Amino acid sequence: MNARSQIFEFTLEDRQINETLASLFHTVLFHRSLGKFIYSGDSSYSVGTIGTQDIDCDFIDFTYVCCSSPSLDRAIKKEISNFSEQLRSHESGCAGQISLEFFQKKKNRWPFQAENIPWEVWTVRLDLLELNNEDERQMYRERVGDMLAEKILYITEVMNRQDDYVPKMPAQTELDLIFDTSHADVQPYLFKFKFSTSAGAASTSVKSTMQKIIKETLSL
Amino acid sequence: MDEINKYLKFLTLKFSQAVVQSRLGGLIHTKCNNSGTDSSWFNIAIQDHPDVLIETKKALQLSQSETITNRLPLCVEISLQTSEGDKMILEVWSLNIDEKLSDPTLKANYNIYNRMSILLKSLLSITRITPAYKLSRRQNPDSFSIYYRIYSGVIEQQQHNLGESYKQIRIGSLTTQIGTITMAVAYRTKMTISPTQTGRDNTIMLKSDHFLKDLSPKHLRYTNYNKKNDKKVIDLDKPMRCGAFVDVSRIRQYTEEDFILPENPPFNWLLRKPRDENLESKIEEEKLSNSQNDENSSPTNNNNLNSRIAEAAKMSQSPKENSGTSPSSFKSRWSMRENKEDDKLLKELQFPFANQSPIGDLAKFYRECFNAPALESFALENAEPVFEEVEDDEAVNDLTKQLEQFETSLNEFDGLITSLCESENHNNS
Repeated sequence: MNARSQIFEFTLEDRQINETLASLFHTVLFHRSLGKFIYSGDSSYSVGTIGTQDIDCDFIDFTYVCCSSPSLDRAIKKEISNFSEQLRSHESGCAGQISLEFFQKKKNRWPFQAENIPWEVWTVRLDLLELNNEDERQMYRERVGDMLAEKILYITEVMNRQDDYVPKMPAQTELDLIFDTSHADVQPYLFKFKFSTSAGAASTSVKSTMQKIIKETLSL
Repeated sequence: MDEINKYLKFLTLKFSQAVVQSRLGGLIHTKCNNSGTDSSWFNIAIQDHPDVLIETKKALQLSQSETITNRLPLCVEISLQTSEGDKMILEVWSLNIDEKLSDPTLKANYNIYNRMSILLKSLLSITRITPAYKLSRRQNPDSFSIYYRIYSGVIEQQQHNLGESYKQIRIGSLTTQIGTITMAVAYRTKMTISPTQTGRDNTIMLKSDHFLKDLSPKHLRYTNYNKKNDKKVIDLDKPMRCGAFVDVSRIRQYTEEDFILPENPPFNWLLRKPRDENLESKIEEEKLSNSQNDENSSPTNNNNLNSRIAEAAKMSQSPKENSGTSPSSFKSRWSMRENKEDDKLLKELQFPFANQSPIGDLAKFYRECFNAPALESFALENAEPVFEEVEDDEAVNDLTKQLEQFETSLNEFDGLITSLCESENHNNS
């Protein structure tokens, strides 16, 4: 695995989890999404336009910009809320991490499945804390906002580096190996989320391995 | 090369649009579009605000013969102006190109186009995190508004205009065949408006007589100020006059009696009230007689508050007993609680639902004092001569005698101490 990896760490209140993760991952995916490719002929295609949307956070003093794609938003929010629920449950030990992993598929000979090769991973580690009063809550509202601003700056810095680990533009037939073409309005690079919490890590990995085994047997 | 110049021109136009639109105060929401018919530049939906487009083109002054690289850098200055007219520059966004840092080997224009798209996305993201964004969202004609100015050329002394400890961020840079394009922002971190920050072009319209000493309002203000100070001396000889629109017939006329404060000491109501007026008159009589009898008596017998209270208490307890100054007056005062009539007062001090309030505390305190046990010395009234009018001389004599005795036996004490010290030394050795 030769992926570029970035790690962010946050200490925050449970109500801030979803918005913190959404603002970070949406910013990353805003930069890692293209307009939808529309093929008109064999090799000619046009690229759609990405709409932008400003989102105000409720529990953080922060506003971020994301693609105005409801389906992409749903895909991100679903993973975030799964993680957030697990983290907030009492078994989590109040710490956990979630990764946004960009990958490209590499076709294998039948009957083997396509291999997923990650090329960039964004990991966010969260530590939960409990706040006792509104003063502290207000303080964290601002503090997490300031921290997010720093991380957004870092994300843009990474995005504008001119190193070429990002997959090359594929031919039409191989578009699905690089891009997630399931969305009608945007075309992000293929991505997936992985998460674990400090206590629940073992059980989820066992669960996912089991799922993987079952899926693989079924697909055969 | 021409292709890249064209890209750069549109990047510059979108750059100023993105910055200015982010400071309009609202939330921006543009829709994705994949119809393929009218795709936007850099595949990002940034609307073209006509005013901003005109301003940007004016600043760039593009002509057919000139390339855009000669007109850069382009700066977008965002400033704040309060409703009072104070102005402060918040941030300066700039787009520049360094033609020395070019890479002629680059061929893939499509890559450069995509990188410009990423640069614009970064610009959009960063415009939401600088302090001016939050200010722009809160702008309101009553307090302050946000203004923009687009100009081409060297960044105008932005360091000085952004105050101390301003910050700089490089949004990103991109190397092309014609040079390296850089987007950056410098922004203010200290948001206090000082008088020196007023803009140069903010000239005030002055009347020609503004600085004439006799006519200038400033001068008048100062003389007025002095006059006011003089007037502040209140002339007590002048009769008091009522204010405007006051019905004179309704004003109460104060006589000299009104200025005499009532005899009752403050918080008198807390003290036991004499039972009737008869009693009061008796107290008065007694007080008079006391003062006559004890003209030379000790200060404690003066007509101070304590003695009067004590006597009043004593009188109420045993109104028929009129024994003048005596230790029993003390006793009666402290044994007031035995009297059932005091319940009345205690009832007055019952404040329902006021357990936690200060007045509740006062009542509690009063009750505690009220129920305090009498000092034993008062109980042993006659046996203990402590509070009797002891013959002071005798007591003094006793003391002097005692002192003399001690002095004569000084040697004995010294001997005792030295013997003690010696015995201690022996023990130690």
